[in-house]
Amino acid sequence: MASITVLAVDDSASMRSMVSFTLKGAGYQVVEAVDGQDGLDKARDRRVDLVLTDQNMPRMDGLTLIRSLRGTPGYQGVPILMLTTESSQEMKAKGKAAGATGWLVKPFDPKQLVSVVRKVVG
Amino acid sequence: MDPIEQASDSPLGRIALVFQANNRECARQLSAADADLERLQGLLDEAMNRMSSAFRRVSHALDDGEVHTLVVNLQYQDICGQLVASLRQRLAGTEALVGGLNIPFAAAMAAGRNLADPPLSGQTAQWDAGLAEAARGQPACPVAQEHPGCGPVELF
Repeated sequence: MASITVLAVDDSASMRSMVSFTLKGAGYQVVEAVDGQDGLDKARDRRVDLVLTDQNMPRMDGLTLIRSLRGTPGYQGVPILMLTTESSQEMKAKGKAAGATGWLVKPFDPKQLVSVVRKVVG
Repeated sequence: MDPIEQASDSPLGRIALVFQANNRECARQLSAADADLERLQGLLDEAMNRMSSAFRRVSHALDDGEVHTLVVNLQYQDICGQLVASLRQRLAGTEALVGGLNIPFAAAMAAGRNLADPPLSGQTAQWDAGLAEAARGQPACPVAQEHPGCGPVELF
């Protein structure tokens, strides 16, 4: 597999750890960010192939991060998945409007996460 | 002497004293509940750190099914943490509402006015602030899943 880098954005160290463990086990490189602002900074510092972000975080939430990334050169077509405890249709609609590629509700199934990541990064 | 205590020989004054005492106790209980939740959050974090550390040490010796189970179950700490954070937000909002009751009530009593009267001009802002706080309401709980199990996936 060509080297694919996933940016995992979550303020919970345990969630970052589980996402990282799962995706590294499937052969992906994972860069971690502790909130939306950190995620935006890291995405601007290096090219990432997929962003996986939580919604409720300090400093910058997931929807704001998506909007910011969609306005960042090079990130218009990069898949962005929300991984969150939020599952209301209203929030999903906001995510879709912001430019999210998909919505995963926590807790995630590791096999399903890998399968979705494979699907969206091609 | 507190104007409400001065008025304690009247029925309204006695109601005011009970109201004030109840209000103080509500604030004390809310504050204690918040401190309990803060401790609970600390314990959840500590438990998660220990479990994650143990998981990293032994994961190489586990089969795929065991790893899958642990990865799913370890995520519940994060979900519980979000629930605790939501509860603390609700407590803070309730504390503000309870505290907000005191201001116009004490002001009205100090002015020796009937509580059914409209507020004096100087008190309008305080009343409006209390009403605004109540109207703001509490945010929806961010944890919608009621039952254990992996969440759904939707691609747009």
